[in-house]
Amino acid sequence: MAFFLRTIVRDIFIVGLTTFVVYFVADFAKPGFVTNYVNLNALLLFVLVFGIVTVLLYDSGDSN
Amino acid sequence: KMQNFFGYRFIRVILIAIPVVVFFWLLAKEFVLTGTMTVRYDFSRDTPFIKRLWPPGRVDPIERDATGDAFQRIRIDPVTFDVLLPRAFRDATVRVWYQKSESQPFFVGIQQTRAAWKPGIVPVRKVGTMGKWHIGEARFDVLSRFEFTGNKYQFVISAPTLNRQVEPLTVTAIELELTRESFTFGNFFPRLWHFFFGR
Repeated sequence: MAFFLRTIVRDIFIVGLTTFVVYFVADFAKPGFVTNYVNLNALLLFVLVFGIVTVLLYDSGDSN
Repeated sequence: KMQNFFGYRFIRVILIAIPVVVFFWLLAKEFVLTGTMTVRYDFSRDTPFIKRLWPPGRVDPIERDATGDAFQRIRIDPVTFDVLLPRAFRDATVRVWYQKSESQPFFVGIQQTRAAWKPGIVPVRKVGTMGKWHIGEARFDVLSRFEFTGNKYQFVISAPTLNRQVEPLTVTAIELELTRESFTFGNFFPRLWHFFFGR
């Protein structure tokens, strides 16, 4: 169960980070395309939190 | 073992699907697929579409009444407000929630082409009330004849008899309902082609 939770948290972090990068590039190319409707700062905070949790829960045995 | 766990796969699909769905929703907003876009500014906080009344010297600071509604008093006319939009529209209906003296004329206009110094103004017609506020409406057809530079229309609020000695024009909300040709199966690909390769 712990392994399952660690995997889900890591996946949320990876998907969130990818989403943030894609949305950031899209908004850079077309200002307002994302930020008119979505708060990218909140998304970044979300990614940061899950990144920290991923690191804290990291178990070297998971990669074996 | 994890990959064979159906629940894990299902969660992963959902995780990936959410931002993809949101991205397509953003695309639908950008291209205004439905043909109608409604934007509103209630003075309680800044919005990405309707900007504050300008210049600041002609209006009082934004205040709140006892019920918590934000409003702003216009002391000297005219004042302008910019409306930033993803693309041009065919026509617009402007609604304003306001208070003013009965005898005070009240117009809304749009800045025309650069060569025309006078904005195209339309009288605001009262269409209803909401509590202590009147609701006025002004309609603009054929928006193509108005200046749309930098993805922006510049609107004007005009009340010619306004000055600091008379009762101000008080506004609590501005709403714009904009329409353009909606996407259909028949025009989708020609318009997409025009967007990428058109003049």
